[in-house]
Amino acid sequence: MGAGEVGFHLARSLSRQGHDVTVIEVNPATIERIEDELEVRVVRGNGSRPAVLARAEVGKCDLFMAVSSSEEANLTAALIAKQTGAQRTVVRISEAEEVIHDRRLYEDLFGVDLLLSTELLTTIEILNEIRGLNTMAVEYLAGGKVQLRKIDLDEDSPLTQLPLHDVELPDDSLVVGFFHGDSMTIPSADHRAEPGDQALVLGTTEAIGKTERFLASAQVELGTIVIAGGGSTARTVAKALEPFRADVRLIEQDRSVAKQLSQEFPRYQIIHGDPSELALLKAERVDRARTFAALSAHDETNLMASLMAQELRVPQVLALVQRAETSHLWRRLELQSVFSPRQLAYRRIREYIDSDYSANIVSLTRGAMVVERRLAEASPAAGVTLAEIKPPDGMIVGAVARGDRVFVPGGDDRLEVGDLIILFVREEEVATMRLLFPGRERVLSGG
Amino acid sequence: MNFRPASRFLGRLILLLAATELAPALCALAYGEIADARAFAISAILTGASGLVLIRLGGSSGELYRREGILIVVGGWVLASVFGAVPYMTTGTLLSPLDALFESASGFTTTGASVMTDIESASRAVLFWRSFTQWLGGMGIIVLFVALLPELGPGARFLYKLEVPGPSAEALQPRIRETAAILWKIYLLFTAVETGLLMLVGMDLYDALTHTFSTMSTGGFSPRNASVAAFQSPLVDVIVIFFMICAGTNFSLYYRLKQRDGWNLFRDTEFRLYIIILAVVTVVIGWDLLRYQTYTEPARAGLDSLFQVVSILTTTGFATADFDGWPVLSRVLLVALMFVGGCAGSTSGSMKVMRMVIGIKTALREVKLIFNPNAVISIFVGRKPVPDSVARSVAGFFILYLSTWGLGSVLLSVSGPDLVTAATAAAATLGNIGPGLRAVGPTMNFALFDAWDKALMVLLMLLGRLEMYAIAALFTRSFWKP
Repeated sequence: MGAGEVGFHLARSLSRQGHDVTVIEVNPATIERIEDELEVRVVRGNGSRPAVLARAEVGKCDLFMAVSSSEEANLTAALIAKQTGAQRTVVRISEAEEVIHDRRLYEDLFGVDLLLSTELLTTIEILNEIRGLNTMAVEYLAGGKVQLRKIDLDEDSPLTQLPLHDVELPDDSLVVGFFHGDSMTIPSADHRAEPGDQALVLGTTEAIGKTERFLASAQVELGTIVIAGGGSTARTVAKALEPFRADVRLIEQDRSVAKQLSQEFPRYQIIHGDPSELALLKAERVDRARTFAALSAHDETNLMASLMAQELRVPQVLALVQRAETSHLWRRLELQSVFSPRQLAYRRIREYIDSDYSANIVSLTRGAMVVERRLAEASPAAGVTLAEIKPPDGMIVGAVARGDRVFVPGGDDRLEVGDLIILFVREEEVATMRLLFPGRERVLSGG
Repeated sequence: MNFRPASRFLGRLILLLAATELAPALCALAYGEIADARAFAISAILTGASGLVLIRLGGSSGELYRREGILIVVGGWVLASVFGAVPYMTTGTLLSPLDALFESASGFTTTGASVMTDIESASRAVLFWRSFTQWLGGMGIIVLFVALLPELGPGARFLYKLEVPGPSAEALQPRIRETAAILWKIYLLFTAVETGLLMLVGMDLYDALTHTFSTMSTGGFSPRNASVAAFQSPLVDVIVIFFMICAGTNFSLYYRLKQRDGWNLFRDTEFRLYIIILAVVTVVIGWDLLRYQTYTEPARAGLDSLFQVVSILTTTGFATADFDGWPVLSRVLLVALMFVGGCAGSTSGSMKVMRMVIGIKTALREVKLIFNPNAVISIFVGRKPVPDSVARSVAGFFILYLSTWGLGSVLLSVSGPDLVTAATAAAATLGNIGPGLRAVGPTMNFALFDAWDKALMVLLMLLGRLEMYAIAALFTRSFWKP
């Protein structure tokens, strides 16, 4: 449903692969374009109306994707589709906060199988870029209370000097995996990492910063980060940067928006002005920044601002582009790090479909998965301590959320019915995991 | 301007005041002061009759808007002061109407400045009334009225805000009436506990009750000539110090204490700063007193320093020592404290710690903006952002407060006292503190001033209690225009 940029690209590639695609769209111009270019069935009308959905026969489909730009319409449509018999639903929403905090609520209330936020996807990509990691830098689990971070290890890190069981990590954190090249392992107790490896660390939001500083002796110095624009993507990125203690400056054109930003981010410097004005950028010493991120909602402003930043020789320039088809033009101007939210959403959904709707964190790795489970009464693990369960080598119970409390369990901790458990499992052990923790599989990732 | 509903409202307020005058009448009967009992009864009848007349003149028609609200609050305080003065005259304690008005206004505004030269010569009932008016004025007569009258509706919120001290009055409950009731309940609880404790260390019921009234309201009237020093008891000092500190604290903190989510008072930025100011100034003054050998015993110096500092900072005005004779640093520090006051939402007067914090931060923001004009900076107190409208109102308050103090000092010096007397008398009345220095020092009184000065000080006391804006509004021309 919805054949905007995300929907159009999805429809094209899926139909080329031989899937039967039906597109629900209301805009006549878009419909004309679809009928000209794509080999799909088109249903005209508002996709959040039951009658329109019935005409599209959503009850019979394997996958229903609500990817229009209207969050409310997407949720309504997905709810109706699921109720009338659609196998799976994918819903696109804009705000990142919703996905971080209330994903479960959406899954339970609306029966959404994959909830993705273009903003969160973009934020995570940008964060990866800023931190210089080629894949996932941060994931939010259990309503944002638990974070997963990838940390570069050098020869000075405790993890490369000692076997895992001799490293005393700060409380409420846990090493759940190591990346060696492209492959990820779920470690056994005597595992010792090599310099150049990356550790995947899980911890509560309070603990993880400390753990990262403990493990990565050579600190990733984020330096000064200038963000142009104060829209929702800029805010989400700024918020995500908070735990990294970076020196962040936000430039916003609208005074009242700037005012709001200054109340939301007491530690950041908020500057009122036009980010595409060279004089302002010079006055604010943007030339000394390490990163310049043009994240306003307007492509033109972002383009101008990034060119200015390039002129001032800022080492890293990032830009947000709404119109994905123009990104090659940006590259021609030597602006390499261009992020298109719609393209990212499209890619995420493709990954979901290509991986056969599996519960894998696709952005994590191949061969291992992260699963979030609500402990059912039928589970043999209910009421038993972790030591008694004796999880096999390829499986780690990463974190437990009980009521408002989140903790990383030790051997003496007892699992209770109703606990939300985050598991890290190697593919071979998936069967064991299903035995110990029966329940519905859920997709876990930033989007 | 809609006078009719305002008049009805004020009439009921005066009726309530008439009822409170029966308390000292009972007190007079208990102590066998029959003449005074009659005098209070006459005063209550006079007051009640005036209230009825106002109700008759008024009507229930017409809405209460902001202008009417301001008129009611200011009118309420003026009328309370006027009718509260009647008993001083009917009992023959103070014969001059202006003296009676000064004493009454000083009571309701919790200032504690007195024109009585020999307090102990007055009857027990009159001294009870003196302390009782402070207790009524401490938590606020309008707040009491709002708590008791259910039918005020949304208009009550504005009245409440005008009377509760501090830059932004917090509502604890969706209905302002419930908020007002909660505040009065907390106030009553503290009053009961302090009275009980004072009796436990040997005071009789009368002394315990009157001193509690003046402590919890941060008023400072004592039925003794020597104030709290009359008891010569460190235990009494400590109890009074503790409850003065309690009274100078934001009362909504106690409510949150009960709700369990704010068990640690020190998490509140304002409270933390309030205690830090108390501690630091106490130590410095204690050191100063020992340095010049005003005191030889460190314990005594410490206790007296603490008592005086708490008494002035919370704007109570009790005294256990004649600080007018203290070294210059100590005196200057005490005068500086007169301009600080307790926390917002407490019963204390003056500018309030919260306004100091916001005011200083606003000024610092301007400093930063000098070299960084494009920056947008929000002011935070604790982790809460302060809206710009509040910051602006605080800056305006600073200017109004300080210029009123300056003007007041000039006008008080016309009659020819010395500089220190005039300046501290203005600060002590505007800040609702009570004693100042020199001729208005803790062992002196305000009887020396002439009629004009006393009238001016009544105005200063009311301006201070209602925190400038409401009364200042009456002096603008556009307020009276439709």
